[in-house]
Amino acid sequence: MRLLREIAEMEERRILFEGIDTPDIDRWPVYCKHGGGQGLLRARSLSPENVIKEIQSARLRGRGGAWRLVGDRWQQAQAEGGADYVVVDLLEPDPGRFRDRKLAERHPHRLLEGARIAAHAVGATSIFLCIDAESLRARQALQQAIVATQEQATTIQLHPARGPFPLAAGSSLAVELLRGGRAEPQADDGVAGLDRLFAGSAIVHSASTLGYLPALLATAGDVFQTVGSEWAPGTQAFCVSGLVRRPGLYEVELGRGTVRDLIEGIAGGARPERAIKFVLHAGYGSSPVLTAGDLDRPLDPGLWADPAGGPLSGVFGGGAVIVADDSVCPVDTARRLAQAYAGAACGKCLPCREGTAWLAAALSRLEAGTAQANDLAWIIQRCNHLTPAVALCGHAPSAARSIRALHDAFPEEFAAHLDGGCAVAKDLSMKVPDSIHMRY
Amino acid sequence: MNQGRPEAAARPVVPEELADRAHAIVAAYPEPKGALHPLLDLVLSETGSWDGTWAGWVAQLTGTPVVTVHGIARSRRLPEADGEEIAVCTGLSCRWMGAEAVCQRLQEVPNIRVVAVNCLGACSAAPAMARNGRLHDGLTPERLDALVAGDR
Amino acid sequence: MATVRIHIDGEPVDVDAGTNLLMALLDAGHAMAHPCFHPSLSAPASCRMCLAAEEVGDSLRLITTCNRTVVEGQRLSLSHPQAVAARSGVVEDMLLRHPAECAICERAGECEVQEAVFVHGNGATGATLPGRRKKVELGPRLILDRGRCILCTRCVRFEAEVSGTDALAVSGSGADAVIDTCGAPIAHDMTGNLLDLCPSGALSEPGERLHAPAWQMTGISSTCPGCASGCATRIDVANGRVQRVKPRSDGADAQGYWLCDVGRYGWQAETERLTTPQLRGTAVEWDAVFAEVAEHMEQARRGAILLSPFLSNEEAFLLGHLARRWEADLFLWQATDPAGDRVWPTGFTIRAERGPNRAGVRAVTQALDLPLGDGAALERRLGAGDVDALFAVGGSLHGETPEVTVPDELFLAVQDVQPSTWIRNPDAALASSSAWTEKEGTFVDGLGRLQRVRAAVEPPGEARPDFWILAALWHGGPNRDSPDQAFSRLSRSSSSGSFAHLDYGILESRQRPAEGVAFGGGWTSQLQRRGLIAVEDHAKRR
Repeated sequence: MRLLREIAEMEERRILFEGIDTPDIDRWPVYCKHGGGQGLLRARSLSPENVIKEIQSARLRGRGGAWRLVGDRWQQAQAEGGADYVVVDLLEPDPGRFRDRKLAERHPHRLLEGARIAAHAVGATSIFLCIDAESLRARQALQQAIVATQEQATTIQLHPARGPFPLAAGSSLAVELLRGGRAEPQADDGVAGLDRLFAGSAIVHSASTLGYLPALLATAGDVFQTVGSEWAPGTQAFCVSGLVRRPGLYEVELGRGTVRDLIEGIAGGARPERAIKFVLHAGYGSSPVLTAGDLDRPLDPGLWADPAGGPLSGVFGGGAVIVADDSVCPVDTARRLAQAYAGAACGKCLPCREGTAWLAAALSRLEAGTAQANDLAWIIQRCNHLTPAVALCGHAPSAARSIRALHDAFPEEFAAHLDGGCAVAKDLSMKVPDSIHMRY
Repeated sequence: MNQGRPEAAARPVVPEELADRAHAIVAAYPEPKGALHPLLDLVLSETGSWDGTWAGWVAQLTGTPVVTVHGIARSRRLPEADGEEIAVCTGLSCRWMGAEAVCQRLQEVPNIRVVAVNCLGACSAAPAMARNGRLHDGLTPERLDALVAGDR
Repeated sequence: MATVRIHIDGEPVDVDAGTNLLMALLDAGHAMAHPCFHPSLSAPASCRMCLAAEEVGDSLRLITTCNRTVVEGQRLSLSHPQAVAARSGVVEDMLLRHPAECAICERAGECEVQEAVFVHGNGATGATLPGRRKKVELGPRLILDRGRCILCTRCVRFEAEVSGTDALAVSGSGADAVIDTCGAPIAHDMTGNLLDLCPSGALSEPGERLHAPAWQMTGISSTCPGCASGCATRIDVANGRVQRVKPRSDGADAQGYWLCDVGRYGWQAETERLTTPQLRGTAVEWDAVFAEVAEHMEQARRGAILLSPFLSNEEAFLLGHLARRWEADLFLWQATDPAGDRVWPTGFTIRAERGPNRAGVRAVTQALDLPLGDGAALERRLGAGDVDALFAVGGSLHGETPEVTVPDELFLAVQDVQPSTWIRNPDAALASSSAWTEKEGTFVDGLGRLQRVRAAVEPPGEARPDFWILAALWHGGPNRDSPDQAFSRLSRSSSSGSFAHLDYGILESRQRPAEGVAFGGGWTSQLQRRGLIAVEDHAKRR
């Protein structure tokens, strides 16, 4: 498998995945031999307050996609009397995102060490790792790592749950899975604070966020001093997939290069005789679709997050980069996304349950050339309607944003489909045979 | 007052080893209800299908109403009861990288049911498929043929 | 209680601290559809209908109002274009699969989906999805039409939080999610409330389609005679017939928004009615019966009157006076469920004391300073041959019977709803009114609350209201005496007792009646009263 092996022109900078190519790094003695465990040792020699201060000054932001400052969240948690549980969210239902599971699979001790540091900082004694039950490799690696490092101070429990899971559902989804409820997020009730879990409280972190903690603690935050942008120090591991020469998981410094450097440099650019058509910069909701002309955006979430950021404004996302070349039909892509979102919808909130199902049906008609005259107008109208707050979580809004963005980037191709035309020769953006049962 | 509860009489025969594992899982949670999803997964992966009689068992272990267990189980990805199943990833990358060809090739193999699934998380090594929970990625026609031939 | 001030579309509104934000909006008279919200259930905020724009600094953000409490200084805009568009968009989402079959829907006219379309919809929808066409039976009295279901989960939450039976769950995910019992039928004594809760007509009872439509029904406020809990009810009448009984949640007199199935369906059980007055098994005119009863009771040396806990205070008052005139002794039997009180998780109670007005009958005899014996005392007197004429009134509401054996030789007059099965064939049978739907007067329930009971329909055939019969016996023939007047006399005669200084006017002012066009269950009828459902228009049209 092609993971981090082919180094391209643009430099990779590994903090999260540091040492991942070391053979047997998933074994505890090997991990220790290569400096593993130092971060936790140092963290435990400090008071939780000092750990929080260090993370605050390092300005570590959550890598799940919301990019909130981890240190500030911990401080708030401490103000509430600390959290009883650290919940690690490894669910990653987003299309094109597999970073957390890779981390768990290849570098499990790093994840566990990070989770233990977080537990020390917020005063938790239990850690739950919430993971898709069907990610067998990651489960196995984590289970072995848990057994190898059992200790009294903090218990770690793997919490496998079967999918499907709604995308961009926020932290309450993992908490609800732990409560033994339906795989549904909870509505925002305007009350700030920690999630309630069992008789106590829980703080939820993405696995990748925690993966930075060992390095940060071991170096007293030095590692973020020189790496990354001012708004978001450090690196981001991008899951580059789709139609590029070297798809893979690449960790690069934030604020250094552009999307083009990542795709055309490290990932090798388009395949021979093909040109990049658009890029879905996704994961945790979706951001505007980048067309070939948009690729010079800097890889700095701070610039994207600014609502007044003009053409840059959008959601930086959680690191999934899906590249399509000129053999791909954007209508087919929209249809496939809509189907995936409809299939993964939990069904709790009305606009998403009905809306995503309708979008999938309408886009299927459009793609097949059997759309009714108003369908395209209605697709856009429904997409505009499905904004955050209208739906209970980020699932439907992110579907709507992706579909809307694909339409805005390629309006002619969408319009052409109304008359049954498709500008793309369908050699690759093909359909799965009808005889195959679809399941999500 | 309990007339609304489904009859939990049809209890499955639970192998001792499975029961021990289940109890160990329940013990890992401050409240037994927390173990519901892991127990569902345990039943599904051990039995290969969701048979309603298990709902009563899981309900009893977790202190959850039987109907709730049923409802949650039926909202999860459930394996089919019969035959071998291969899940072919049809996420964007896998589609673009040849999931169709994988499906077509597999359909020619007798006694295998092919289902298309959303994403197996192997996007950078597309196309991918999962067989009996084991992931096979970076599929090429040769690898696929070897995989199919290896079993038959 | 501390109040907080919020601003709704610029208007300042003061509400109690801790008030639910949606309730504050509704109380302030703002129309807001909320298919998933119910004031007595938890709020999942899943229908996303009650959206309002909240001003935060210079910017606006949409919030759901049902799962928040009021915050001091909060500024909400309901009429902001963004909020209006969002709500109408959610209505459209709701209609994507909801069948447009209002013309044949049982719930038409009292449907919260319709209400949402009227209040928030913007006219037309261009998008539809093929719906589900599946009806399933959830229990003996419940049918679920999954095509109409909008998955608000009120029923699931009711079964978890109120009935405590956890009989329902959401099964499946996404667009395939359905409400399901997973095979086990729902059968407990609170199932009728699910009909009231359902906002969309997805839950109905067998035969409900044969009811008159909601806009033809008139609701009569009454009190449930099913037990001593004294739940407030609304009897819906159309075409001169009772169509259904619903809970009425207007004051402290109700048990929340709920009514048990005993109270809801009890009236349907009285199928075999006594429809003519009879003397020794032969139908006669009322005058003949009055003369016969009066003669025997007056001549009796040791007359006795058996009162029932199903009598109203006014009826007991007249019987007290008759007892004085006839020099008869009074006895009161008790209807008790041997299983004891049945208490649901939220405290909802079906009392072991089945008689709705035992406390009232006792209070009336006390006010009249008359001694009152119990059923056992009467039994002893009968056994000793110490009674030569017995007038037994009211009874068989639940088929409960006083345990008395009446010897053949004494004169027996029975005033009852059904041909009497609990006592030997009477010499005189007085066909009277059902306490469920035909009684006018007042009850005192097990908590000592005095409440009005109202007649919704006339007794069938020659049967007459108990009060009319007793007043005729008192006055020597049919007359215009009314429960209202009797109550005033009762009030005057008990200068310091339970009924002092009260009259129907005062009672009416304390109890908020539900007269007018009937609408849904307790919660919907509240909305109706708040003017949020176009009741007035319906009323004018009729």
